[in-house]
Formats: sequence, C-alpha cells, structure tokens
Amino acid sequence: MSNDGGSRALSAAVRVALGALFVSGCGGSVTREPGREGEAAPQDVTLGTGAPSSSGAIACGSPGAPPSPTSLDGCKAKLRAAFGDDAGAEFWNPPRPLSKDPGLVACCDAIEASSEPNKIEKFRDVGCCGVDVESNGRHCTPWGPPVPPAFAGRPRAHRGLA
Amino acid sequence: MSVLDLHLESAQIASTLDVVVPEPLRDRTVLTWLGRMVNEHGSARVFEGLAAQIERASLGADLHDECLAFAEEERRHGIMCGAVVVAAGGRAVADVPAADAFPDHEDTTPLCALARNVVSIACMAETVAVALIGQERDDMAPGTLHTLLTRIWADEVGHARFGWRLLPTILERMSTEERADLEAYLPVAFERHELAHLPLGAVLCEGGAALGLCSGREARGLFYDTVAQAIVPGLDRLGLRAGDAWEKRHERRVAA
Repeated sequence: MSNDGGSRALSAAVRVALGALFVSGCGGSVTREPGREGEAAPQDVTLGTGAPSSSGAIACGSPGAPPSPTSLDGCKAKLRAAFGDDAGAEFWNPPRPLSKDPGLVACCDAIEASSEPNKIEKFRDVGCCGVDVESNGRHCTPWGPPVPPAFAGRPRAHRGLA
Repeated sequence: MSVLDLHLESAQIASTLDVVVPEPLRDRTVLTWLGRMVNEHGSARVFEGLAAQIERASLGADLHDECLAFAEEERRHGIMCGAVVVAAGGRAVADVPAADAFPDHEDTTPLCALARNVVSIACMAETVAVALIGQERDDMAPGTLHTLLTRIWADEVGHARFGWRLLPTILERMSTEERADLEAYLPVAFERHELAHLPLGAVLCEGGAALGLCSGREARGLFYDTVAQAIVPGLDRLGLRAGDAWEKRHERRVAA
C-alpha cells in the first residue's frame, strides 16, 4: 500500500463519518493495539499436530460431519494452543504464511460445518483466520457488512425500555 | 450449506475485464474475489433486515426503499466480484454456509434495536469498507478492474453515508435510557468488527495490487486508523461515548 493511497482512503472514510463539519481533534480517543506496531514476530508459537489431545475428545479429522460439542471444544483448545488466548485479535508483524497444519485445518473446517449460533464469529475468534482453509476468504474479509452481533446475555424483558 | 452460483451473470461482465493474472497469483486472486463475492452477495439480506427494521420503526418509506436498493447493490457487487473470479480463470460458484440470523434485538425497543444495527452496519462496517476498498482502488492502476472497484467503492460510500445521516434522526427520538442502552452495545459491535479482519498471514506480493489483493497487516493498520479518526469521533460528535466503548471492547471476553 502506498502511504498516499492509504491517506486518501482514510480521508474518504473521515469525510463520510464526519461530513463537512469535521474539525481535527473534535473528540474521541483511541489507542492502537498495544505492542502491535513494530512488534517482533512471536518465535515460540508451536502449531498443533492435529493429533487427538490426551482427553481423546477431539474429532477434528472428520470435517465432513458436524462435530459434537466436546470435539468442538477440543478443536478450540488446539487453536488456542497454536495462536494464544487472544487469537481472534492477533496478527503478526512481519506477516507470516497461513498455517497449513492438517489438525488446525480440520478444526476450522469442523467449526465451519457446525451448526453453532454465531459460528462465523467463533471461526474468527479462535484464530481460523490464520489457517489456510477455503472459508478463510469468506469469513476473514471486511468486504460486505456482516450480520450485526446480537447483544448476548441481555434479557428480553428490556423490550419495554421506553 | 447452499451453493451460490453467479457464474453466468459474472461471465458476462468478465468478458469486459482486461485482467491478466500471472499464474503464481491465480489461486490467490480466485480465492480472494470468491470470498468477496460471497460476502457482498450475502450482505443483501443484511440490508433487507435493516429495511424491515426501518419500516417497523415508522421512519418513512423513502428510507426503507433506499435500504432495499442497497440490498440490490450488494447483489450486484457479488456478481462483479464473481466477474474477477471468472476473469482469473475460476468459476463464480461457492458453497455458502447457513448465515447467522439477523438480530432483531428483542431485549430492547424497536428504535434502539434499529440504532444498534445502523451503527454496526453503516457507521462501522461500511465506513471501514470505504477506507479499505478506497485504499485498494488508489493502489491500482487505471483500467477496467479499477473502474469496477470504483463502482463498488462509490456504493459503499453511499451505504456508510446513509447510516451517518440516519443515526442522528434516530438518536433524536431516543430516550436517555435508550441512548444508554445503545452505548452499552458499542463495545460488542467494536469487538465484532475488530475480528472481521483480513487473513492474518496475507502478504501483498509483487503484482498483487493490480489484482485487488492486499496485505492483511496493512489493512488492519488502516482499520485502526479508521476507528480512531473516523468512527469514534463520528459517534462522539453525536453524544455517544465511543472512545470509552472502544477501550472496553475486550472486557466481555475477559469476563466470559
């Protein structure tokens, strides 16, 4: 990306959001992700092998069938082990190739095939955007506004708010 | 799982594209634009859901119809993205998983439910799209693909402006309690959009910019800049404490 291109594109977004009345510094403060810029690539990440865990609960090797909740949890644990607790928000600098680890690929395929609610969020959240699976391009691109998230955990009784 | 087959419609547009894809970039070009095809086409029902909410909130037929027109534009974008797939030697056909349900937000009032979705769809997702697609367009040399991207970008600008124009109208009608409820939702929406990023390892390789490929890392940088310089100030200006919401976006995950 050229700096000039990025700057013009950002200006367009600012104009859309703030219109002609935009004044620099008109409010709001945001901190960038801590430690991301210039951060060295993690060297100690070990990708999983795809073998079942000690619990024997993982069924990642059969992506064709929707996994049981137990196996899905196992897959998520495997992905967490590979990418860390904050996998969904993680990215690497410098960038690294997508993982082709068969176990992780099978896990992400299993999540894709599952019937879990909000599975696309889960796909991203557990780190599947770092795995070389076919659905990566569908779930890990900001193109096309996604379905807005529900406000999980809120009781329906709030309906009579006003 | 269903199949989205836009090949015939996309092939008609593909014949007008003078896109030359080097063999090493072919697979990535096909996968990237196939993903965009699915996402763009799938966004049609997001705008249809929003149109239904606008109707329920009695905000007028014009706004409702405008929103439905956006749905048609998203379908058209899907076909246009599919055209790039076909031009690169692929087929504009993809398996599409069952989509998440459009949230009616029954835990709150119809007005606040609408405000939540306007913020998420237009003020966040489409505003980020304006920056990201604009960046790709600026990095691309003039040509038929640049023209195609310009058409999509212009529509996205319209979708984002719609939300920023509509939100003040909704806020004027909301009670203090409803505004507080909307503010409580902002961290949820911010977290969702932070996660909707490009593939982590995506690296812009030589010749990739001409084909609309991009770097995941640089796109995330532009995402954060757009949040900081466009979205948060835009929401703050409307009296919503968006900066605080951005800072709190991970708290729910920690609490969970």
